[in-house]
Amino acid sequence: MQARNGVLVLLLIPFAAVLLPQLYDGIHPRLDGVPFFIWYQFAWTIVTAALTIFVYRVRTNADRAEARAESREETH
Amino acid sequence: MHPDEIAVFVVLGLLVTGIGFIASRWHRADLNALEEWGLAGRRFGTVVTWFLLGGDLYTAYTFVAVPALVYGSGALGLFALPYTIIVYPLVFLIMPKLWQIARERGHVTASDYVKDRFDSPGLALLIAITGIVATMPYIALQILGIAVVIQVLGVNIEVSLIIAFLVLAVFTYVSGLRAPALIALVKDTMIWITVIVAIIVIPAKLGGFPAIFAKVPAAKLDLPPTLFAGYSTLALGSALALFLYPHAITGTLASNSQNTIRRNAAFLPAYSFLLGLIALFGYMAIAAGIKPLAPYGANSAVPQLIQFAFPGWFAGFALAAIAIGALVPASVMSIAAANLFCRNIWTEYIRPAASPKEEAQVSKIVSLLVKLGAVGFILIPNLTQYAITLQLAGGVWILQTLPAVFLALYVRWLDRWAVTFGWLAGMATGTYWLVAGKFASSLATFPIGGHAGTKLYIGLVAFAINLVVVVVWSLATQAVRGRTPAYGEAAA
Repeated sequence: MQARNGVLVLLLIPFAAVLLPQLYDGIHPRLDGVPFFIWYQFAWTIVTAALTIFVYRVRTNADRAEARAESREETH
Repeated sequence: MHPDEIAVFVVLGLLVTGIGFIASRWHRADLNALEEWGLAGRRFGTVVTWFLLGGDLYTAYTFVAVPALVYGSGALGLFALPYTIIVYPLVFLIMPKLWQIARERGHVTASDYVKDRFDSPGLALLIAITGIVATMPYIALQILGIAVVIQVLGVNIEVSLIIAFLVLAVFTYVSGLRAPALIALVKDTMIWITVIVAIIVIPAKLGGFPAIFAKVPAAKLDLPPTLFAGYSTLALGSALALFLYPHAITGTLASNSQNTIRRNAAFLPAYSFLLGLIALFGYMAIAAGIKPLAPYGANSAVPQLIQFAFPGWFAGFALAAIAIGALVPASVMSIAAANLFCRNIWTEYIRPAASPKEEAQVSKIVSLLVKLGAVGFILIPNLTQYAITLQLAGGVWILQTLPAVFLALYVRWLDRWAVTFGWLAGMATGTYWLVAGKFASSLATFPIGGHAGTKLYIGLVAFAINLVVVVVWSLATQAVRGRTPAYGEAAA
C-alpha cells in the first residue's frame, strides 16, 4: 500500500523539470545542430513516458498482489 | 492549382465521410445519441479510450496551430511540449478518482458531478454553460484548420470556411457518434503515415536538422527571460484545462475501468515526442522560406510546407489527413457539448419529460448551434492571427470550472457559494483581460509579474483569482458555521 501511493511522487518530477524554462533556456550545447532548449524538452518526453509506464506497472502489480491476498483470506 | 493533389484530397474526403455515413446505418438498434454516447455502459476498453483521450491532442491544434506559433513566434510555440509532458501525469493522478465517484453515483458529465457534490443545481448550470461556451473556440480552431488546408489547395478563403463548416455540420448531423469511433482508425492511420513520412522526407529535403536550425534566426530558438513565466503558465494552464472539456470528461467516464484510464495515461506520453516533432515543422517552414497566405497568416505554414515538400498525390493524402484529423474531433466536441446541453439544461430546466427522440433531436440542433457559435469566434479579427489563441481563449473559461470539478474531489470543505463566486471572479477577470487585449494574445502583463514586461497566461491568472476566492470564502464560511459535512454525509 505504501509503495503503491509513494510511487506517485515520481509523477511530480516532470513538472519540476519542464515548468521552469530558466533551467534549460539556451542554445548550447547543441545536439546534432538541435538547440539545447529543444532537445532538453524532447528528452523529457522520453523520461516522462518511462516514468508513467513504471508507475503504472508498480501500481498494477500492487493491485494484483492485494487482490491475491484478499482471495487467500476468503478461502481460509 | 494542382489537379492530382485535389483529386486525392477529394477522393479521400469522400471515402471517409462515406464510411461515416455507413457507420451511422450499421447498428440501427438505438439511435438515441445521449444513451449511446453518455452512458455507453462505461464499457470502452483501452483501444477505444485511446482514441477518445489521445485524439483530444492530435487535432488541428497539433498540426496547424502549434507549428504556426513556432513559425511566427519561435520558441514560445514549443510550450506545447511541456504541456503534453505534464498533462498525462495529471490525468493519471486525477481522472481515476473522478471516474470512481462518477461510477458510484451515476454521473455522466462534470455538471452531474457538481450538482450532486455541492447539492447545487445553480452551480451545475454554470458548469454546463461554461463547458459549452469554452468548447466553441476549440471547435473554431478545427474549422479554421480545415479551411486553411482547403485554401492551400487553391480555393478562395471565404469559400473554404463555408466548405469547412458545411462538411462538419453535415458529417456530424448524419453520422452522430458512431462514425468518429469507426473513422478514428482510418484517421489515425492516415495521420501516422503523414507524420512519419514528413519527418523523414522534409528534413532530408532541407539538408538535415543542422541546416534547418542554421536558417532559423537565433532569437527564435530559445526564450527571452520576459517569456519564461508566460511559457510555463501557458503549459500548466493548458494541461489543467484539457481534461475539463466536456468531450474529454465524457471520454474518460465512458472507459470501462480506472485501470483503462491509467494505462492510457501511462502510454500516451510516448506520443508527446511525435507531437514535438510536428511542432518543429514550424521551424522547417521558416527554413523552406514559406510565405504564408492572407488572411490567416502563419496558420497556413504547415499545409504550405507539405505542398512544397511532396509530389501532388502525397500532398493530397497528407492534407486530407490533416483535414480529417480536424473534422473528427470537431464533430466529437460539438456532440459532447450538445449532449451536455440536453442532459444538464434542456431536460433539467426546460422539458423534464422530453422523450428520448426529442432529446436526440434537441441534441442535433444544439450541435449545429455550437458550430455556428464557433464560426462566430472565427469572425473575431485578432483571435485568428494565431489559431492557437482560439484554444487558449477556451482554456481561460474552462479553467474556471477546475475548483468545482477537480479540487472538489480532494478538498471536502469547499463551500458552494465560494465556488460559485470564485467561478464568477475567474470568468469576469479572464474575459476582461481577453477583451482588453482585443483577443490578440492569451498572454498579458500583470502588476505581479516580477520583471518589468513579464507576461503570464490570462487563463492561469484568472484561475488563481478564482482559487483565492474559493479558498478564503470556504474557510470563512466554515469558521462561521462550523465544520462542513463531508461529501455523502447527511447535513448536520
